[in-house]
Amino acid sequence: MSDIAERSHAPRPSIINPGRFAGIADRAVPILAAATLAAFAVGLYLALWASPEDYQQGSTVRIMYVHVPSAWLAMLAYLVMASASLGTLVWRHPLADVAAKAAAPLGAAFTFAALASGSVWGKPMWGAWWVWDQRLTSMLVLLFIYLGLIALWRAIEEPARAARIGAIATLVGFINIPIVKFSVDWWNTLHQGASVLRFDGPTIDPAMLVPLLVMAVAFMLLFATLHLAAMRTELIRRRARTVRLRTVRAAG
Amino acid sequence: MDAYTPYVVGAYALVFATIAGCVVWVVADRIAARRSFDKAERAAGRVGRAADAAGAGANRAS
Repeated sequence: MSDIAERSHAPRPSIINPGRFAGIADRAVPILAAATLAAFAVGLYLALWASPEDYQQGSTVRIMYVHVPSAWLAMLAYLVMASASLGTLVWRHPLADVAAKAAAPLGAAFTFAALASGSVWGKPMWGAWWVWDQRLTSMLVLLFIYLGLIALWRAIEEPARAARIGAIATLVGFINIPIVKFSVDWWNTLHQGASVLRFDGPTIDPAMLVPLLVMAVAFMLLFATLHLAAMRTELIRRRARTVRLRTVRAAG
Repeated sequence: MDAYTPYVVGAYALVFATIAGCVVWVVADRIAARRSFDKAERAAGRVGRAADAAGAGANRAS
């Protein structure tokens, strides 16, 4: 399928040339998918069987192994989108907008997964499915930002205009990311503070840290796989649009 | 296994259902984009052939 994008762009000796990127993505996606499955197999074994139960939380601590990586990815996807948006506005690179647009639905999905799994953990531990805690609320705002950006990209038909407006909106929405991350430090929240990504090192026991990190690697590989595949699809869709426009011009 | 196991199962089911949804969306979107591209190429081919035929007709007439 790499011929589609290769035919549409003059060759440039760079990985960020859309045509060359398409070829690399086509080769990388199956390898990444296999690595994702392997990482999930090891991670799920460690998380569900090899790791100990918490002395207070019992088996609900195992929810952490899917909740925390989902929450990390929710923020990482937005970081990818914000970096890509800078690429769109500063360098006007065609792949930057493709990367941002392809990451938005994935970011929304992982934000939903983090909220849903956190809610299921909250019921037995806090006694409520939902509390208007600063961390939870800022994550909910992140979900709405993702959904708003997806709607924005779909609402504007002209790709260059959609890219510019989408990039500006993404960068404005980035203000929420430090609020999500540091909400547990800035306010007295019900949600526990950071125990892994800390300046003074993780405070979590290695018996639980190792499964968590393996699951985090699995989730990141999953994101890389899906993001590359979604970017490749977006390139095909843009190529189809170019062919359609050229046909209309030729017929007219 | 303890009293919390249903919550663990529920949380994993929600997360992996979301992941499965993402995979299905990526695959379905690829198929739709590919079909859209093929359709656009077929339309371009028809327009190109019509233009060639018109050009050949004009040459014969001259």
